[in-house]
Amino acid sequence: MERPALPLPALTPVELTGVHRLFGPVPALAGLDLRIEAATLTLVTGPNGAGKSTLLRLLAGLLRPTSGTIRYAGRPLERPDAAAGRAYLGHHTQLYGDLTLRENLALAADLRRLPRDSLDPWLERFDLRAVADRPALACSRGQAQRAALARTFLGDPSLVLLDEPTAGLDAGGDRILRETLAASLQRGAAVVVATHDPTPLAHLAARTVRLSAGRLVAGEPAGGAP
Amino acid sequence: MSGAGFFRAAGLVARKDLRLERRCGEATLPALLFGALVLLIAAFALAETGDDATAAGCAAFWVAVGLSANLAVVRGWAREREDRALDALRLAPVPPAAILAGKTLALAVSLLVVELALAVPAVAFFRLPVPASAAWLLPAGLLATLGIALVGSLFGAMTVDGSRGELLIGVAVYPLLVPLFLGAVEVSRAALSGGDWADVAGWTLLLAAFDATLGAGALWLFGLLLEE
Repeated sequence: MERPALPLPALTPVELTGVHRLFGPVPALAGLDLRIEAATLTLVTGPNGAGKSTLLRLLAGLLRPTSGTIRYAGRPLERPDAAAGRAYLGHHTQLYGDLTLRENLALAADLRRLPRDSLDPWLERFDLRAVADRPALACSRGQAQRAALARTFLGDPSLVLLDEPTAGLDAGGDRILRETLAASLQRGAAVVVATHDPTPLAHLAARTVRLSAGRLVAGEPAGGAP
Repeated sequence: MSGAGFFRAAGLVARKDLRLERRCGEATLPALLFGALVLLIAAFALAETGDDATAAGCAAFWVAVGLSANLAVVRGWAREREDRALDALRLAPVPPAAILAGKTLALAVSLLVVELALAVPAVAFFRLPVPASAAWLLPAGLLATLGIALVGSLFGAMTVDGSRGELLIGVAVYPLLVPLFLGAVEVSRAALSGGDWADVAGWTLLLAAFDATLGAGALWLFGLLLEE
């Protein structure tokens, strides 16, 4: 599906320097240094509690570091409208259950000032046309996850952050996600995916970093960069 | 973001909340039923108070509104908590204050519906007079409703990441709203007793000042409350 490229705020490279994040006395991230380049997919792996989700929420701006800095294209991201190019999907679909899938996507599009006619291509790409006017509550977990992914990619963000994005997806959903990620990378987006199972996306990844107890314990090129 | 952008974003958030409310009535209906129950109980105890019936009726009405508002606030924010929908709003390129403004506006509309519906049993149960001067109640009523919605929305955000926030609504919101409820009751009593503008002006201006002060503080504070 060819879509015209939209002007994206320059958010890459993203640089984390000495990032600590505490929850109460418990460190979730302990002095993380990481650089995320444009047009690359970075897989973040590690056991439960390693800090993967915290890292993604920090990059999304939903959390603030306790200390350390995160810079996007060399500067902190303070102004909300500068965040237009950043998209995040966590463990939850972030959908309003009583709104239809189309209404959920329309709200996101309106808030990002995207034209309404930008929705249909994404509903089509994620094979949601048949259920687009169904309330999210009445959709299966997989359909809701597809809708959440479609919303994430609305507007062609330049920084895509996905936490276990294949959860709930069937084989068809997996394939659509891989194709969409490949297209985003080709467009120049930076993608960070936190996952327990790096296998399905390994062929797209330029790099895999492994976290343990909030620290980077390994970071190596994965090969097969797009 | 420009002023127009702020109001546009607030309008989108308000429209989303009102659409959800129109579809489910989850905030308004329980609030309405609960408020009617409070009025009924109060009427049994207070309606036969002779000359003070108007004051008692006004007080009972605003107590009913205040308690009902709690239900509407909690339900309105529960929608944001379910499936972490609030994250999607926070990720949008809009200032947090626009989210607060939108949620406040939607809650104020829901509360106005509840108030209009509760006004009927309040007048009936307490045999409240409705003279022409009752019109003075309109600006004060709108200001009081806006104030309740503003404070409720501000503290309601704290319910999103856990149950302790709901406790805060009881502990922090009602004390903060005391001047507002005093003003609303006083204006209601004066307006329904045939008073003129001079009798309600002081309290009405107090309500306006309350809303303006709290509004400025809330818009500034809201972004900090959302931060994790």
